[in-house]
Amino acid sequence: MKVEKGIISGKQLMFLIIVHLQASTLAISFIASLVNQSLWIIISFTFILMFIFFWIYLKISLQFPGLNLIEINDILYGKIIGKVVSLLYIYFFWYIAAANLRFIADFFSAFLYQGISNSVFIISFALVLVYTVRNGLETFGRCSVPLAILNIVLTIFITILTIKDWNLKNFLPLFNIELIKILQSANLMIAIPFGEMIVFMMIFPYVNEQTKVKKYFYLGYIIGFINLIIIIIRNIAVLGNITSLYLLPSFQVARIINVGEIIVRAEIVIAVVLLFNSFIKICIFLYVTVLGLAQLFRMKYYKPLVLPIGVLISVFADSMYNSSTEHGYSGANIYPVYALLFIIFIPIITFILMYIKKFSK
Amino acid sequence: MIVLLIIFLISGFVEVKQLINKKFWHELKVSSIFLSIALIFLLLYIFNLPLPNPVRLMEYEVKDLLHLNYK
Repeated sequence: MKVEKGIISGKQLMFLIIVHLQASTLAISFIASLVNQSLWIIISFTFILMFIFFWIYLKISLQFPGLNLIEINDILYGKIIGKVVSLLYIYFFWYIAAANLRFIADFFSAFLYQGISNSVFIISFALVLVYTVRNGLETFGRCSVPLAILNIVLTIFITILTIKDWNLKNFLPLFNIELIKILQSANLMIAIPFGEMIVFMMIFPYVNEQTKVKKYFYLGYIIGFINLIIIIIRNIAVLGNITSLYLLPSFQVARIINVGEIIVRAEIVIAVVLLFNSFIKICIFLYVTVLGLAQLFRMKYYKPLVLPIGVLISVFADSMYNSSTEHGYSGANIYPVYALLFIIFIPIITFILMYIKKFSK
Repeated sequence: MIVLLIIFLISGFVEVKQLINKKFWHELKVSSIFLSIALIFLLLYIFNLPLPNPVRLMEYEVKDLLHLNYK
């Protein structure tokens, strides 16, 4: 029984992926503090590495057309273990939604509205999130199209305006980093922006062009990556070694823009784009959390769960970290290891299990 | 958060009413459980009472149990 009746097009899936990757630029500051100017190399390396895991995700999803991660778990792991694995994934998606909501609230209270409590941003954000997710996948799927285009246009626009401030010496020296830091930063890249794309395994069945899912998924991934790498290269070229000092380097770069004293202080544009991107990203995670729960409890539709889960996300977003420093520590040192379970280990077990079942038949 | 509580109570009431009108009893049962959990956590938070923290659980698993944290 289908819990979600709405469908999105392949192109909307692609734009959702682009926006999702763009929203993860928040994570870049963690990694920048580890590898400084070599960041672009680490990102390019993990970009190639992730193709292996995406191949696994897509192979599993396309083997069971019309079924999402929760339904696939039920088939492959059996009813009881399948439900436990699904619950773990739902918890993982819920956690990402709460952590991202906290991040955006921290950003707004630290940079734009100093002195205003996090709760104000969390509540106002949560209300819009609940309203949007109640309207279904189609609503935020459609929203992602203009936002992704706006993202790309702004990236090109800001890059062009800052070219005069580029210093190519900022990229040197290369690889002046410890091996453990390379590993940690690669792990962070896998865990935060790229690995979180496992969430789309919940959305694949609701794409109308099932045969083109693979194409649009990879296309979104490649376009999102190009956009991300342009931003990273631009930030390193402009800021150099001090990139890691900023919570959001792109914000700082936009602050530097000065075209004949006319186009100045463009950082607010970055803040607005970041707000939109994070909004879509949290929407995706809130949506898959409630969708997963509704499927787990065999409900006819998921809408009654959006409000309680939205409230739980808001409460935990406000209380899970004592400060943004604690969030930064946890995000850089603990979460990447924890996320590997959901991003790498369980999908590999699922993949092996799928082939064992296929051959035993 | 009190604002959220008020909005939550009003929206929750409307939600439950709709489910009763449509006679979706199973959905009513499940959503009532989640609405109650959300209400308990919201009240705990408003009254500054200790809340279970998913971050502590994650830290315990990775740091104390597996010793796999980076720093």
